[in-house]
Amino acid sequence: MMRRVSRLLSAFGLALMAAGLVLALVQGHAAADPLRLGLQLRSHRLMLLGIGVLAVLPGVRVLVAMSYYTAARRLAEALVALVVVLELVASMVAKG
Amino acid sequence: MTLLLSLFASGAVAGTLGALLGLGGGIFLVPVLTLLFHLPVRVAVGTSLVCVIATSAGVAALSSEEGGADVPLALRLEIATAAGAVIGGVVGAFVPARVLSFVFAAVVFGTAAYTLYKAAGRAEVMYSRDYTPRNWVPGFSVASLAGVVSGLLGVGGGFIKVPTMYAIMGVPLGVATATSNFMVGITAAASVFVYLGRGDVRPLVTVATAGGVFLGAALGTIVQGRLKVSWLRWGLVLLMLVIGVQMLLKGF
Repeated sequence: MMRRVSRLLSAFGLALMAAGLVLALVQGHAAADPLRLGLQLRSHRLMLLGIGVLAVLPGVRVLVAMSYYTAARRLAEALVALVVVLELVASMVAKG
Repeated sequence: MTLLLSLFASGAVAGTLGALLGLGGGIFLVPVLTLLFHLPVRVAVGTSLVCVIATSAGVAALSSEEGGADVPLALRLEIATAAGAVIGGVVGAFVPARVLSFVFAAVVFGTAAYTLYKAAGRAEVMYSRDYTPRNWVPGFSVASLAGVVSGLLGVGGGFIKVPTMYAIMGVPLGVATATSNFMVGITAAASVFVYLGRGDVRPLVTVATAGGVFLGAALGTIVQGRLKVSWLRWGLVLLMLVIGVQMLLKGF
């Protein structure tokens, strides 16, 4: 189950990033300094979305593990997984 | 375009090495991004964190179910590591770039020592379920340190986690490597949002590098059973020594 989730989300994130990259290439933005390009470009928003999907993937995997342990009544492991999920959520909130 | 292809190639090397050795690849990527591509350190760190997640995801997508990772052990250690990573990510904004260079050089030299240790006649891959993790207090302590290092330097901390699990907690080396691959993605995810929020993740740079990492992780997973890992480790030691010296000089 976890491997399926990894494959699906990875593929989705990768597809978004690839779409953004192709758009950047087609629109000629890739030739410019990649550090100076602004984030208002649609290609960059697509890529950021893909990066965001990738960034949440580890948390989703832990959620899947938590569901599995809960269903298997391995409550100690489920609780540990819940703590890790809460830490990841806290990190999203503490955005520097 | 040449820049993007070079970033892709660097990511591929990092992903391959990461998949083979239980690392996220950041220990290779951050110096390469700063030294070869002259990216600001914080941008290199932000990019590397995304790529560490990509390595973990790539390995997870292609290996057998969880690839031998001890998921309960990974989650327990991640309680300490993820907390450390958030702290490292927040503190990283206030640490001068020179200091980061020195810290990174020290960590790189430590990594070289660790790979030499692994290459010195110990069993390189051992998969066994006949073990019980021990020494949880030092294990948790070092896992927290791995998290702080991850948040500060943009690495997954695998080069600390694998020897911790193997040498301190008594986990077979193959299981430790696979478990580390699972963990580094979670650790990087704990601090990547801090860098995303600060604008230190530049889309074009990150996508080009992460694309290479995915490919490299896939390659590393496929060839894992066919290559002599000791060959890679010796090559990596040499590379780490060169990178460590370069980062030291950059700090001065």
